[in-house]
Order: sequence, then structure tokens, then C-alpha cells
Amino acid sequence: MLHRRDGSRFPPDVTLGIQAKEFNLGFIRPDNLVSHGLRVFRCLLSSVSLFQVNVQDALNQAMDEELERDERVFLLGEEVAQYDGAYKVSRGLWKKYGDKRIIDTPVTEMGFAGIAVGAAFAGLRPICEFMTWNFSMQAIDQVINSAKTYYMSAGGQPVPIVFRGPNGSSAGKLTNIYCFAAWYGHCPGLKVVSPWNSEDARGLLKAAIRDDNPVVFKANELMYGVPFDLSEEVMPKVERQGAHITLVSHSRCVGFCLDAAAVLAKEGVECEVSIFTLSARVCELATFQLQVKQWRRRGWLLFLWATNKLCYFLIFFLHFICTYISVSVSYDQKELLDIRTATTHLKLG
Amino acid sequence: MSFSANEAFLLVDWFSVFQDRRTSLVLVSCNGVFIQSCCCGVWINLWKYSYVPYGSVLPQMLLCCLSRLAQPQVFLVVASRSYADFTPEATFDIKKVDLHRLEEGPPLTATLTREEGLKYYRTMQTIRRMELKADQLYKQKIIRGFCHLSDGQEACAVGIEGGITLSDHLITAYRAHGYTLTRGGTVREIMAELTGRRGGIAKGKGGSMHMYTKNFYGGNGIVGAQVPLGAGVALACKYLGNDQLCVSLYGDGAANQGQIFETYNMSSLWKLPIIFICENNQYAMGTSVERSAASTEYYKRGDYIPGIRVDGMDVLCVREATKFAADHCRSGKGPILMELQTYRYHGHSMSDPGVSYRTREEIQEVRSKSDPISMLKDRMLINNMASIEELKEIDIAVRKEIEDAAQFATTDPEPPLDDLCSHIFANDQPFEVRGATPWTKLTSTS
Repeated sequence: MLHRRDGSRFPPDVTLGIQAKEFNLGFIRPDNLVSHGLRVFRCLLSSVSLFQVNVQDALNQAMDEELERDERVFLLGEEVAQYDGAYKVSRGLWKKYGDKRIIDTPVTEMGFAGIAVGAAFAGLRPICEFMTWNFSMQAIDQVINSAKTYYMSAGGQPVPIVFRGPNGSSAGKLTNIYCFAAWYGHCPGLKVVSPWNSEDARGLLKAAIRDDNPVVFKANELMYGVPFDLSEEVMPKVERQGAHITLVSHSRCVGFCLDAAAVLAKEGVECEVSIFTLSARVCELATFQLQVKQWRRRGWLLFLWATNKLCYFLIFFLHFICTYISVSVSYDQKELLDIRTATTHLKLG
Repeated sequence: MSFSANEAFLLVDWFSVFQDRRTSLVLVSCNGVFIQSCCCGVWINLWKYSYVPYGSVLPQMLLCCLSRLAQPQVFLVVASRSYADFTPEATFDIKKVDLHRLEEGPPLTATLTREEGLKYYRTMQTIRRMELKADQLYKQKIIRGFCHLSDGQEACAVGIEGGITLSDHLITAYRAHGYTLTRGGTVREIMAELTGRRGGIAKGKGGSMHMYTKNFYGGNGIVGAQVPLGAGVALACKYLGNDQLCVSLYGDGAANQGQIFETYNMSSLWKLPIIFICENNQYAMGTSVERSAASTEYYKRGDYIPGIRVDGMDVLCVREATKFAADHCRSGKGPILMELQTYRYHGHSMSDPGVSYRTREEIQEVRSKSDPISMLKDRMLINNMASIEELKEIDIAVRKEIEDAAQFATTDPEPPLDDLCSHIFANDQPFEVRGATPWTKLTSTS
């Protein structure tokens, strides 16, 4: 059974995952149990400790460790100090580090984003938190132009800053639910990461803080409360093995892919939820294509950039493809069919 | 021959001889005081007829006798003068500044030493010549892209630097060539950067608006964005506790930007050591201050932040005001706002002739009445702090320096194509970058 860190048990609906509840699939993901079992077995063998940590706590741990490790790291944003973080990601940090390092700002995104970038110019390593990435639109100039400084100064002025915040859809909301991964992903000089599980969240945030470049770190708010195994080791990025179709996704949609894969497994279609983009940079597309080509002889590559309720569409679509169109298409880079599903072209909030 | 003296100005141990070849008149002077004359072999002592301090009479008499004895050797025309010809230091009255939320302002007098005066003159003249040379090179299409010139505003750059140290920080907007120079850049590097060559201060990749030196953060293209950046630098100064401050400059056009008010709020709240300086050159591109701002008293726009309005064409005024502001910040009182009333002779940028929104007469009037370089020059000459020849020599030296720099900037090679994609990320592994087409691959190194 899955447990919280303090030993208490999760209620069953959370254990099953919010996706299961939302889409009424009503079963525990069988692949996760298998891979979970394998991991436990491997960890028992290698005596590595294994905790159930949700993404929120993983991010908290990452920031705590980096604040302790380097004096120059500090956090600023709205409600990060005394409120313990709008989504409780920075819980306990103000009590531990004080006003100097955990700074509550007024509701002025452009101003405090600029201040964070200026502090990075002068040698500090700020973490600038936006309450959601929608509000970063107020400050988008400061975020994008922080990426140009190292280039325009020909290497003289690095900007070691991390912009953090929740991105994408949330439960039952119509406003402030837009996904900005593609927007920022198009900016050269900016590293954009969008992790899914706790391990990736923790590892990537630590790497982002230690990186000397501007990093845009997006997590999904709905994933904050979802627990995952967290060990000292870095886990492989193939979440599910399969031979017919590769599903590529980022952030919360990886969960959808896993659910869809489980349903399709019953139909005999093996989906590989393998490479999920941790980085939303579009030009890494070529890298995936090459990797897939190396691994597999045939298959279709599907990109899932989506947000709400896409799982139904995905299952339907894949089922359609597998039933009515032969899957045994010989695979060649030129014949690679990539189909992108994404948000409906409707900007809400 | 050397004489010990009881007056400082008699420490010179040689005397100058002036020979007028037409009338065979020889004048012997000591310390600028003519003590003897010889005309057709008739020697006359002049020290009786010129003022000499009481204690120097005896040495001067001795000098006269000796010079008479050494007559055959006297006809060495020594061209240089002793430094003590000039006043080493003088005090000038400067304009009173307007105050906002302050009881006292900077002092009403400023002391200028000779060395400082010559240094300011040289720097201002260098900026002026450099900007005019950039104008010339732009018209020859050797400099392309954006070029915003700051001739007329030299006193701001030089005066501010006079009030802070090189360990303090400065950030400004795109009219940045003068500040790059005062912050440690060389003319060669600046001009090569304008022409986009590899010898430039940003290796030819930054251009006019992205020049960086130590503790100078450019050069920023987005109007007003540099002000929160400056507050961030000030936050770092306070965080690291190093008693440094940050000077954050913006223009009268940028003064209406929202992010500047956001910055006023946060810097006042957290008492950041920042000096906000509004360089009010009366025109935001082509919009005069009356047409763009509901309140043209930019020094009061900080509201709860104390402000002073300073004559930005007088280098001493600017210097004293900056010193005052720096003391205010360093004492932990938080931010302060300075408005410098200045003027630019060129248009907004090289694509603007600068006369469609203002008259030529206005430009001429400012040039004749308030030019910063002329003002300093007149002050120094009137108070005998320098001679006109000396200043001319400085002008010639500056001209030569600019010519050499322009020559370098024109002949230096452009950065190699391999550099196109480098410096995208810092301290990273080299990686491939997609070029303009999917099959063009370039490598990026840190």
C-alpha cells in the first residue's frame, strides 16, 4: 500500500491517482505495480532507501538542500515566506532561513522578476517563483531577456537564475490554467524543464539551481499531491515498455499516457510510454527520432502536449489506428509519422 | 643651481628665458615672475617692479646676480613651464538643487583640483569626439544597426563617475557609450564593438546596446527594464553586505514605465542601496516631456523616495549631487532619486535628424550657453588652472586616440562564423544547434 512520509495512509481515491478518479477508469495502473515491485526488489538488493514522496515535498527538499549548500541561493516570490508558499512548496523554509533568504514580494511580477535577474547578474543564484506561469506573462520580458545576456555579452555575463512555478491545467478551473511550455521552449538560451514525478522534480530542480543558465521550471499543480517512489538513484526514463507505439509526453500528460497504455494493453496494442520530454525544447525532436530509430524497427511516434480530458481521445484514436490501419509499417525516418495532439485552440483564462 | 625657499613657489630650480628675436629682448622669469630683462646687453632687474612675496627677495636677488654672471649660457630657451604656474585648486559656486522630501541637499560650492579638472576635461572630450566619430562612421555605413549618441550629455557620465567608485555598480539604457568609457572600457573596444569586430568589448556580438565591463551591466534595449535589474544588483550588494551601491539610470521617456514604480516600491520597502537617476534630456525620442508626462517633475515621481533635481550640464553639480546621494544610500537610508536636466545635440538615434520635433535654434542655444565641455574649460581658464595650449594639447591627443580607434575598428576582422552559436549557455557541454534550415547544423560552445 502507498503511505505518506509520516506513516499515515492515503485515502483510496488519492492512491488510485487523480487521473483514475477523473476518467473513471477505476483500476490501479498495472504497469506501475509491476515496475514498482521491480524497483522495490532492486532497492532491497542494493539497500537503497525508498520513500513515498509527493512532488511538492520533493521540490521542498530540493530547495532546502540547495539553500543549505550554497549561501548565494535565495528564493523570492509572492507568498513564499510566511504563507509557506501558495501551493506549500516552500513550507518551512522561511522559518529555517529567515527574511534574508526567503523573500516575500508584493504583487508586482515584472518588478520582482527584474530584481531576481539583476541579483543573478551581480553573482547571487536566485529562485524566482511565479504563483502560476500565467502570471509570468506580466514579466515575460524579464524572463526572455535574461536568456540573451550571456550571448550578447559574449560570455561575460552569465545569469544563474531559476524561474519556478505551477503550469498547465488544474482541477475544475477555467482561468489561470494555460500551459506555457511551448511559449518558453521557443526561446534560445532558456532551458525549459517540465518534470512529472517526484524524482525528476527533485533532481531537475537541484540541477537547475546549480546550472549557470536561466532555467524555466514548470510543474503541474495537480501533481503536487501525488506520491511517488523517491530513492537516491536516478531511475530510467522508460515508464512502460511496448513494441507498437511510442507515446511521448511531458508533465501531467505522462499519467494520461500510462492510463491509455493500460487500456490499450487489453486490446493487444503495446504502447511504450518511454521518452517523455523533460525539456520542452522543440529542437530536441530530432534527438528523439534518432533514438527511437535506434531502438525500434517499427512504430509510430505520438506527441502529447495536452491538458484536460485528452485520454479519451487518445484511446479512441489509437484504437482506430490499430484496428483499421496496419501497424506493421516499416519504419524509416522519412516515413516517421508523428501526430501531435495538443490543447484545443482555445485560450481560456 | 638650486635654491631653498621659504615660499612654495620658489622650489623650482631653473628659470625660463623668453627671447624675442625681433628686438633681442631677453626676459628671465622665475616662477612666472619676470625678474630680469636684457635688451641689447642692458640688464634690468624687474623684481622691484613686480610683486614678490616678502621672503623671496634675497633668493631672487641672488638669482639675478647669478644669471648675469652666467650670461653666455642663459640663451637656452626652455619651452616648458613649471606646474606651479597654475592654481592647484579652486572652489566654484554651483546651482542650488531642488529638493523633494529632504531637509538638506548637496553643498552649494564644489572644489575642483587641477588634476581632476584635466581628467574630466579629457574624458568629456573623449566622449564627445567618440560620439562624433561614430556619427561619421555610421554615415559611411561602417557602423550599422542602432546607434544612440550622447553628445551633450557628457557631464552626466563623468560627473556620476566622479561621485562613486569603480567598485560600485551602474546600469543604464541604450545611450551607453559614455558610461562604458567611464566604467573602464577603452575607446578602441567601444568603437570596435560598434562596428561589430572581434576586438570589441563584447567580441562584436553585442553591438551598441550591449556593452559590459566589470560592475557595469550595459546597455539594455528594453526601455525601463534596466531599472528593476539595477534594484536586483542593489539587493545583491545588500545581501553580500559589501557597502557597495548601484546607480540605475533611465530617461524621461522610461520614467513613465510601470516597472519603474514597482521598483520604487520594492527598493523603498527593503531599503536597497540604489540611486535612481533620471537623465531628462527633454525629449523621449520625439516626444517632449510636456507631451508625454502629466508631471514633468521627475524627481518627485518617486513619491515616498527623496529626490533632487540637478543641472546635468555642469559636471561639478552632477558630481556633488552623486556624492550626496551615495552618502545617503551608504548610510542605510534606502533609495534616492536624482533628476539630471541635460540635453542631447543629436537626434534620438542615427536615423533621426533631430529637428522635426525641436528647432535648430534651440539646439544652438543650448550648445552656446550650456555646453558642458565649454563650461569646464572656461572655469579652468578663468581660474588659471590650465592654459589654453595645454587644453589644445589634450584635444589633439584625444583626436589622435579616436583616429587610432576608428582605424582599428574599421580594419579589425569580424568575429568568425564558428562564434555565431557560441555563448548560448554558460559552463555547458558543446551541443548542436539547428541553423536556418533543418539540415544546417552549427555547434555551440560555452
